[in-house]
Amino acid sequence: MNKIIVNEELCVGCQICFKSCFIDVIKWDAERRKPVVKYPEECVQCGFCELNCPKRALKMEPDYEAYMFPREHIFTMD
Amino acid sequence: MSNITTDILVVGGSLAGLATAITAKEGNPDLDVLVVEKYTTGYAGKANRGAGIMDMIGESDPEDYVKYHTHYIGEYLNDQDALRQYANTLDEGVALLDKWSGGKVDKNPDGSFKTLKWLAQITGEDENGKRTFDEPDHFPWTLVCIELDYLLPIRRYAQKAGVKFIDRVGVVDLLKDGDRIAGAVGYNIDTEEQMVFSCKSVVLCTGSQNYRVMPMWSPGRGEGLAAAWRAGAQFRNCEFGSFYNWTSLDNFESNMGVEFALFNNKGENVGEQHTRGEHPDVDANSLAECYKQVMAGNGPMHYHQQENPLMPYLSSVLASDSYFNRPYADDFWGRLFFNAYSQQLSDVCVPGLIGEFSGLKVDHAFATTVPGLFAAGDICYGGSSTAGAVPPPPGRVRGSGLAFAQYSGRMAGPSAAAYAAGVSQGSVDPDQIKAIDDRFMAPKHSKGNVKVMEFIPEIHKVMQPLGNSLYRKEDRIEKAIARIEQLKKDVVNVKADDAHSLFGANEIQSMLICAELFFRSSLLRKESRGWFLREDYPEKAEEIKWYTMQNIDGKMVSGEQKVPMDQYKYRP
Repeated sequence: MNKIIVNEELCVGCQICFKSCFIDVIKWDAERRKPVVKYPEECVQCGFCELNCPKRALKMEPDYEAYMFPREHIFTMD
Repeated sequence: MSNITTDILVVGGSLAGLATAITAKEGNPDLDVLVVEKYTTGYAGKANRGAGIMDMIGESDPEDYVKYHTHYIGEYLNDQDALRQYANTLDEGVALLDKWSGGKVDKNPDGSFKTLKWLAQITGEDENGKRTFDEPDHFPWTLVCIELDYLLPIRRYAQKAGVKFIDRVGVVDLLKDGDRIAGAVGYNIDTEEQMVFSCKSVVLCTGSQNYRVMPMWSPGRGEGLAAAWRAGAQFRNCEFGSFYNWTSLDNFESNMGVEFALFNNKGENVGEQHTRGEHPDVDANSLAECYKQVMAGNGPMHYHQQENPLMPYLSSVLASDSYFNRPYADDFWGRLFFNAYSQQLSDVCVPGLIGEFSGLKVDHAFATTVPGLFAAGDICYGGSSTAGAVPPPPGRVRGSGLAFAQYSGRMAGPSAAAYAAGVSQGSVDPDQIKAIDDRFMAPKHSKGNVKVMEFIPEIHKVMQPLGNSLYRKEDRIEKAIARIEQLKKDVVNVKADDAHSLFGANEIQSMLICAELFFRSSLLRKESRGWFLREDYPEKAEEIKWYTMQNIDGKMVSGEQKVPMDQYKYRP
């Protein structure tokens, strides 16, 4: 599974990582003002969260082997 | 529950949605324009995660573009008037995009747009038997490049113009008053709170259907398409929604130009034969060749990157400042490439389904067949028939995605505004709202226990196979339809326990509608034309037709329209 590591010491609660995700992998904890990586199994390793963080507080580590792709059905259905 | 009233509801806040909203508002300042985006406008969508290249006609004659495209790409399935309108107005959109984004289109020192014609054409062989290439100056279009953080300043521009935004709300269905649009229903993707929108016109800018196969196309889950389907809008060219990009199972990144250097396991270059003649981009025959080789036992297929003539272009545009100046895009692509290619262990390549089902039919004003319902962008690229017999962007012309998004938004915005200015607000029906809520919330009460992420691979098994979706044959299409029909029954077992999984279940419903439309339309087209290949009908039919689909009382009803060739300038 892809890993999205949040360094909470560096995080300033700007929500940019939360806004950057285009498929709802990252949610927002309004009380703690910190991101919650709630659905990492659905991450498609676009890297926008890491790229856009102004404090370099996120690191995205892809796990391509775990990526959901129909490896056995590229050419035929059965 | 919230009730929101506006004049024009724009569903989807990527490039097409923003172009729609800005042109609607600037042309009609007295009308309220509201953009509702499922995630966050400015960050959401695909338009800021691709190469950032965009077509312009540039120095060429727009009529040359129409002629070339109709013959070599659309293969006479184009609505030539729509294509002409597109070609004639394309470049003013590039200038507008640059203005809206505060100058994010890359420029020469003299302030003109920096352009690139990047495809190499094989011209022959030299005395050593090596291929020779030429710059394809005859392609009647060129490419410009935009910095990939451009949607944020465009959002700010729109806000300054008076466009309103709501983020984190996904519209799941439309409301009608009789035959015409009266509003829409959406839900907050964090809280499940329902939002009912009353409006005079809706513009769907929710993108195409990509079935969650290839990574960067993951947000294209077809909910706008499904909502339009349920509202009774007509669809067209559904059978063309099967674009594939070359990829690697090591990293799922897309590769271009693989067909120039596609080798079977015996070491034979089997792709290059399909690149002779006019070859602006990957074609269906190259992909079908891959399928045939593997089925004949000659797989796996290998990509010899060092022999791909596109590589110098690609490596100068992406993650490089050697030609275009785009530090943000270079950072984005640089990280992607580092991750992807540090993991690449082999040269084995496969086609990965991108789909790009975009069959919502629109006319030249980007109106659907439902009064008050309009569309722009990838959702209607195929349905507009602008590009003819190709899958939606890139539609065999790289850079056409952003180009069509800005163009169609600029057409749909004023059209939707003109309609809204001429009608009164329709009545919003509480029974319709209840029916939508029952449908959307049903997975919460399901007695099944199948998770969304367990169900989606079952859809992939039907859509991804090249033998189903690219190199088609009647018996395989029928089997695919039977499998989709079964999945439509099985979907009641999908269980949702929060907003995220409720949307996942809604997306599954959307995928199944698009998949069924795709396969049923494929049965109708008994020929091979452009991207559409039938193993059992390898030739072009004499009569050129569009095939339509419509939801009539819950049934998928097909129709056909003869392409009005006698009214068009170019004929086969």
